[in-house]
Amino acid sequence: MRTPQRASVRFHLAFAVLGVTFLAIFSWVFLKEYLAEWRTTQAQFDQLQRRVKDPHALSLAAPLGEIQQIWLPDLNRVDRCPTCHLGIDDPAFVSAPEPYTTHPGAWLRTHAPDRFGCTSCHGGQGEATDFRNAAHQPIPYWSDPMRSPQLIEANCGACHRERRPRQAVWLEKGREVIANAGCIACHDIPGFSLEELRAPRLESVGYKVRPEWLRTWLADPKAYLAQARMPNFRLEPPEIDSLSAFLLAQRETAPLDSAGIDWSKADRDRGRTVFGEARCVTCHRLEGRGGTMGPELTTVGSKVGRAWLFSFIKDPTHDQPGTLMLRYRFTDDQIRDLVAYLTEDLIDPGAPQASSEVRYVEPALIERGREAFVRHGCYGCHRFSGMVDLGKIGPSLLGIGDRAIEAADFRNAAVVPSRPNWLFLKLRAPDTLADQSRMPTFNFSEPDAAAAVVALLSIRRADLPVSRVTDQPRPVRYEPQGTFGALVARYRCLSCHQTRGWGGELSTVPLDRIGSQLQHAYLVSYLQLPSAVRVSLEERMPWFRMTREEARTLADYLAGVFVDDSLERPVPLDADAARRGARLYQTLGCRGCHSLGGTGGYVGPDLSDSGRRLKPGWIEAWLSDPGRWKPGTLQPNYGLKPEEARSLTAYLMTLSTDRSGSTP
Amino acid sequence: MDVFGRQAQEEGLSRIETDGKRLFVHYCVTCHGETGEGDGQNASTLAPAPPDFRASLPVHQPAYWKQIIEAGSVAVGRSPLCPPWGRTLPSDDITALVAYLGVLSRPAGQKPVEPAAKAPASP
Ligand code: HEC
Repeated sequence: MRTPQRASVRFHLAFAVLGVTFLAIFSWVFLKEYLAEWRTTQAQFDQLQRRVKDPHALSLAAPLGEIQQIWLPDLNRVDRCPTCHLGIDDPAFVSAPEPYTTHPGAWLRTHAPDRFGCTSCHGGQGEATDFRNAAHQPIPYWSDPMRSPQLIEANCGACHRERRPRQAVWLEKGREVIANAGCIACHDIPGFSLEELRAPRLESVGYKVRPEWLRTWLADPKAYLAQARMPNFRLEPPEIDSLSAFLLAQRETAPLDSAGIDWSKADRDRGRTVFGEARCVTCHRLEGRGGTMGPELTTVGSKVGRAWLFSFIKDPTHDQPGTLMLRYRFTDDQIRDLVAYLTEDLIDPGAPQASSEVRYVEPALIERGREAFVRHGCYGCHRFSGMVDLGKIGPSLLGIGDRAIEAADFRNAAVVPSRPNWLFLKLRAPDTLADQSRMPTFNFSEPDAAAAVVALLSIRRADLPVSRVTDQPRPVRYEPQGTFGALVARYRCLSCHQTRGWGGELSTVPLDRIGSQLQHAYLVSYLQLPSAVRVSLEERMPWFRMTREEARTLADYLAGVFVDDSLERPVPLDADAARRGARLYQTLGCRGCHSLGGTGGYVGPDLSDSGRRLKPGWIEAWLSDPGRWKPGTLQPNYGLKPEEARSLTAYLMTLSTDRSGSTP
Repeated sequence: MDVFGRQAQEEGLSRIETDGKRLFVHYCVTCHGETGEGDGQNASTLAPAPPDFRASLPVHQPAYWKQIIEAGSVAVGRSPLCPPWGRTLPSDDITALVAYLGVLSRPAGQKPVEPAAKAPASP
């Protein structure tokens, strides 16, 4: 009988212990719940709101004492941040301390918390209800800490895929850095396309460059040109030998014949004049001034050969079918003078001299050069016939914003091992990281690298529901046909101008409705001899030396097709209105930005010739709402009444520099 | 080292000031100059010329600056040469500009340092 009794005692004992344990656990849980950080936070907020708000507003305030959360099933997020950030959408708490303060700026107006949550923009751990676990600061093993102000735009970029997102300066700049550096040549990157690359084709480079220049360039492009877009591949001398040999052997298309040119007649001074008149500096830099669309020319004479340059200016598409460079209507003599100026005056006196000895080049060396060309992925930027299907040599960057980073990747222990820092070093100094790669050195400046990091971090692996993504359709290539198309191709209008969103960005004037903005006669004369309308701009329309016939063809087509019917309306232009307009011109302070007859500002175009240049319907529409026609324009909306806009239009239409008209 | 922490210190601007700087560079520097000293490219054509913000801004309150930005200098009884942006820029942009004017109104020593622009290569 003892055994059953003892068993029951043991049984009771076990129950008692278990009971006490449970009690302890339960009370611990209740206590923890009761003493949770967020309850204290909410209690303090309660006192604060009693001070800040009147009793009526208080009675309407959200109840305290429970966890507040935002659930966004489509983003797979549960954000409990409002549990503590209690004043976030209430302007009454602007000067309250964290975590109660109002959200700065107008962000919540465009990104309502119940639709976007908090972590979509800020990162961090949404489910947490205490400071530490919410990852306000980096914590070990949580790979998505809250974004610092410097990096937060990376999260903007996850949804805002347009190349130039509004109000995200770093993101925008970073995307530009990525596009300019040509990252797309070696990596697939969502949102970027190979069409954006512009590097010369090299199938005939053997005719083009001087051997001594090629070696310097390959060793370090920035040594020749500080703004060089080509990165440094850290090549060893033997590779430079073989690559040079390979490149110099590329002679697919011989230059256009210049055998009949008598170079002894070349006049460098005349060449310099032609250079100035043609406005080459719109696209090319010379001694620190000028555009950057084309290569820098300060020492071009030490870079390219005379025969090639002659041919290139005569017809740039001869060996560079996709070039942005236009084909001027120069005579052979003009080209000769221009080439003489470029190759004899624009040289680098310190450049290595050409060696006169002719050396035999082994085919094996050329073959090694071809291998190096492929190994370094040169074909990524320099399209090369016969190397089309080789693929990109770098990994795809899809999901780079989620790439797992381990401390081991950082050989340099002084750097905090985080994803942004890793990317930053990868861009700035690839050889300081453990995974030595073939990635060349770009020498990005610190701000550029930082901006690029922001843009890279925005490229996430998991794709978002389409309803969350904003984007701008990428422009579709526009290639007009026929005689108009041939002229547009010859003079490369779309290297600088845009139409239908396609084209270059050098010009401030898109062509879409140019036929309704400018008078036909003015267009014809402007195309033949473009005068400067904006005095302060360095980038000017080149003097193409096109024929009158060509100018007419272009102007006819623009006037017939590139129009906006809403602008083609008559504006009554009576003398009374013009007088009122003249007064308005003074009282509004138009002279601050525009010049008339040589006086006034030069922010906007000179208006002295408006009466012959512009169409009245356009002037009126522009004055009424400039931003509608050109977002971001420097001309503000003056809120003119219709009658005022008409008077100003009438006044501007009286202005002309033609002697028969009135000159102000 | 945390590269991004350091970056933040160097710029020394709050988010709204950064926004304001971007707008100022786009809309205002042609007249007011990079640092607001009244030495923009277009300044020499203006009479009265734009003032040096470091001396002129502290004289008035931010509300006065805001009025000029929104309705032009003519709205406070001055010349019409500072254009009105109130119908062009959203109110947040105006607020950001006012914030950045706050930065520009400080004496030179207290301004966040800009990396010096590269001098153009001499011929
Ligand atoms: C066309 C040239 C021009 C542009 C563009 C311009 N301003 Fe002005 N601004 C002036 C001139 C001129 C004055 C002086 C006006 C006067 O005293 O009558 C001035 C005065 C001011 C003042 C008053 C300064 C003081 O302390 O007295 C402020 C503030 C100001 N501008 C802000 C701006 C801002 C912000 C922008 C850009 C959104 C801007 N301005 C764009 C020309 C310009």
